[in-house]
Order: sequence, then structure tokens, then C-alpha cells
Amino acid sequence: MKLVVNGKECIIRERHLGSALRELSLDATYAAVAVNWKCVPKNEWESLQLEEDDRVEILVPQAGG
Amino acid sequence: MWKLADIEVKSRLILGTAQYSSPEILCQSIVSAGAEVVTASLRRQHPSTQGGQSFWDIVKRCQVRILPNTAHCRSAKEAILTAHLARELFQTNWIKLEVIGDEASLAPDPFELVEAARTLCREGFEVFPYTTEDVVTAERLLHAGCRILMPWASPIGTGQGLIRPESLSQLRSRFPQATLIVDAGIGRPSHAAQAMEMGFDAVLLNSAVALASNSAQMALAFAQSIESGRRAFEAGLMPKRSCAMASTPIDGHPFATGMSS
Repeated sequence: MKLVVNGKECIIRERHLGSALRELSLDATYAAVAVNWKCVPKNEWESLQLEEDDRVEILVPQAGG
Repeated sequence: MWKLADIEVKSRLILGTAQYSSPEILCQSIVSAGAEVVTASLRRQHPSTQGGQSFWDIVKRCQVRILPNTAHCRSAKEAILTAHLARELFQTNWIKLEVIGDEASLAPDPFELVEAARTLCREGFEVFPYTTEDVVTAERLLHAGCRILMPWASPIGTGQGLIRPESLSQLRSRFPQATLIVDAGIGRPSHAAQAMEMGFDAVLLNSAVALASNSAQMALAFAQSIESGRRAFEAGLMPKRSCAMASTPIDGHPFATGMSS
């Protein structure tokens, strides 16, 4: 399945967001995720089913002004 | 103590966390400033990074409250989503709302800003909007549900200080009930003191401390100037006069001729 993750196209096998994040080897311990411009609460990661061409944004904290 | 969005805090200095030479210097500066609130941002996760853990560790160590921002957003849509993600990530309904409208000056886009503020206030966010000194925009933001306004002193990162002090002063007079925080453009402790003497409630700054040769020392200098400015405001500053007026009483002066001099 083709997804756009943080602006880059990638192919993953997993269908659910939680397992897709693990497949991508991204440390999501301190992350917030949006799919198609909608924030997905952490407790919904495992149940949220991804679709072809979904846009996934994975954001982590950083210093800012 | 004073209330920032219903939270009692002592410090009137909100510190930005970017551009420090090291995490250790950032920590020292937070401690030195006595800051209880610091700003933070969000960025895309990258496999080569630690997933934001290092920043979390710093924040936890300093035991400060986080004010996440929507830096670099250019539309209400982007800012609203960033606010949602920040709430999820930082577990706070506080959001420093930035919607940039002009790349050169980093001036806010008032139309997108007000639209985003209206939506976020309705959703229960405590919105800290980064704005200009424009009175109409301020009015709209308050009408949208904001209790706090954060007008710039001058463009972000310039360190020019208060380039339109009269306008900022008028903003204070027009909206006595709003919490007003000067945000952006502060370069020196005297700039911060000037804002506080006008009756602003707090100052938010980053570059002036982060880019100092000795950040921790500069953080302390700002904390003291902000406290001093606030104390002066509360004490009541004398009005300006256009003519000189002797401070020593003239009555009883031995050489008085009856002519004023």
C-alpha cells in the first residue's frame, strides 16, 4: 500500500496505523500523528485502518520560540 | 503571583527554547530566568533522530509548563491541525497561535489568525495569539474568545525592541481586561522593562537570551528587568512634562526676588 509519510511516498504492508508506524521503524513514543489532516489520538492508532494514498504526518517535540 | 490563563505563576518571563548552544545551556537559562513557562514546537519525525525524547527530557528536568506554538504555519487550516497535534503531544490546551502572512517580516496574517483563533477557542483551547499592535485585529481576537494577546514589539528575531511604543501603549489602554504579553523583537533587558512599565503583563522572548554570549546571565538580566518594570508600573510612573520644574521647593530661598527663575 502506498502512503505519503511526512511528505515522502513509501510502500508498507501493514494496514493499521500502529503497526505501520512499527514497520516504518519510527520511534513514536513521543509523537503525535495526523492522517489526512486529522489528528489521531494515540489510543486509536492500533484500530485506525489506513487507505491507499493516505497522508500521514508524524510529529515530535522540538525546541521552539 | 499573577494569573496566566487561570494558572498562578510568579515569573512574568516566558522563555523560548530554540537556538541555544546546548541543552545544558537551555536548562541553565530556564533556571536562571526563574521561568515557569517555556515555548516548544513540533517537527516531522525522522528515523535518524531520537523521536523528540531529548527535548522531553530537558522539559521534564526543568519542571516547567509548556506553551506549544504553531510556528511556520501559513493558514488557519495548518495552525488548527498543529494545535490539535500539540494538544495530543504535550497534553495541554494552551497554544501559541502563529499564522505567518509575510515571509520577509514574519508578520502574522490577521485574517487566518482570527479564523484559527475562533475555531480553537470554540474547541476549548487557551489561545495565545501572536499578533501585531493593530487594534482592530486585537478586538477581533478578543471577540473570537481569546483572553490573551501577544503583540510583537518588532519583527521576530530582530532584537529591535518596541518600534511603535505608542501603539503598544494604546493597546494596553484599550484592553485593560486582556492579558497582554509582548512577544517577538525584544533584544535587550531595557526593551522588556519598557514594555512592563507600560503595564504589559509579561514578556515572551527567545533569541535575546539564546544568542547571548552568556545565556544564563542574560536570562537573569531579563528576569530582573521584567520584575523591575512591573514594579515601576505598579508604583505609578510620573507623567511626562514638556517644561522643566524644579524639584527643590523655591519657598524660603534666601535670595528670592519674587521673580520666578
